Amino acid sequence: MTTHRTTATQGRSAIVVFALSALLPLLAPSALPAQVAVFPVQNLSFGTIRAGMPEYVAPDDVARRAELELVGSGRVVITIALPTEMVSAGGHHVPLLFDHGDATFADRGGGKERSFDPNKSANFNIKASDGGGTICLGGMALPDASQPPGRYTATITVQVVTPGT
Amino acid sequence: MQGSASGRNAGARAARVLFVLGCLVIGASARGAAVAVSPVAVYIDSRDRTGTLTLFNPGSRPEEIQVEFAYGYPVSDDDGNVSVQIMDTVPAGEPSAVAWLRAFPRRMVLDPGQRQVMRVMVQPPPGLPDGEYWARALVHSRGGQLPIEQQRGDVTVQLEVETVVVVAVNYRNGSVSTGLEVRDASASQVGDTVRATIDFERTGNAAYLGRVLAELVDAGGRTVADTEEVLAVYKTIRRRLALVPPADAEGPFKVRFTMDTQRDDLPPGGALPSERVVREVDVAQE
Repeated sequence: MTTHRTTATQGRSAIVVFALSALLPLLAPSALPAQVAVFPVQNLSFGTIRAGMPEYVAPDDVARRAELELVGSGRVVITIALPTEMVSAGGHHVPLLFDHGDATFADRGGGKERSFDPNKSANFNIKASDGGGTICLGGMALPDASQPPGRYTATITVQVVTPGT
Repeated sequence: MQGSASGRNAGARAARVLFVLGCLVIGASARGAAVAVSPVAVYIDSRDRTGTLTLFNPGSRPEEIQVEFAYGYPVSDDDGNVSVQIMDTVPAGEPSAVAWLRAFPRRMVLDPGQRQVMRVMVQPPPGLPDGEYWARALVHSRGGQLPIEQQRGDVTVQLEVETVVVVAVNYRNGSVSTGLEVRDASASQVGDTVRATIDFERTGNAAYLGRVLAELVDAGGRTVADTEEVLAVYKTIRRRLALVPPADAEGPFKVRFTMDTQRDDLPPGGALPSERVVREVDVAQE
């Protein structure tokens, strides 16, 4: 575990240096602020899904929840287009359910965590002193009793809008 | 005086650039990432008919980028929550620029650390009346993060995450102007919080891009609390702001709203100039 973290830290440092060098050209006088950017940090992981056994991931499940990091400041509207099901190549489906309280937002400043409904647009005002925040997303997969084995896929689309423009 | 204000704005803008880019480095360092888009909005006039967006991949994996245009502008609900509804189909009679916009390139792959300037070109129809025409550029980005994939058990699950950054694209044809009218304003104190609500209607033929400052004024005329929000009024909009008077402040209170078009977060020339508007209302007790 320690080794893994050390390697990850070294890789992270290398990326920081790389990204910083790449960012320097953006610091030209004509450069303008990017809007609040969203970075997928961790995908939603249901773990082993078995036929007929619903699997729920709570937004406070650190290991399995999805995490999205918002970077920047200002007011931003986040809309998450959630899939209603995962589909296999054979056309089979695993329904997905996302309910009120399956998403949370916490700013970097250590403010109170806020729960919201991921099915609705959410409005956040990120302070410059915080510089961003984290959205955590849980949900439920509902395989039926005769769920065929297979590879099931779906897409979560996260839309970022600056409402002051 | 103007030069001084301009200098402060430039300084604030540069500081914001540094801060945001610094955050991007930190944010991108730990993971694959989506694309960063700059600036937050593009304003194109009828003289050059071209604007640019800079796309940047601060992550560690290539990003597939696709750009499309749709229609939308900020609206609010009864509680003053603002959202931008993106419409695939433009309702009749709306000042849409969607059909005239082209992006070059429209698709691209951004390698880690790579940036790409994308041009937005406008080809308006002849005889277009003066005014501002609206669209939103939707910058789709995918592929930059590890997909969810499990091979355990009898079902393999894979969820991809796609991000869409929405950027305002406003085309200004000929003579444009903007202004603001306050349709209604009120304020009431519930518990220890004063809720100030104000309804706006835009005048002129272009969006009002500015800010609203709400100040809580005590019985002695002193400002005891204030809050500021950016403001975009394309047609009408409601804003609601919360103010908390300090414990030693004495009422009765008033709320003074001040609206102007100072926006250092927008590209130069983005916010059209307009006269400052001030409205004051008494705070009702509930």
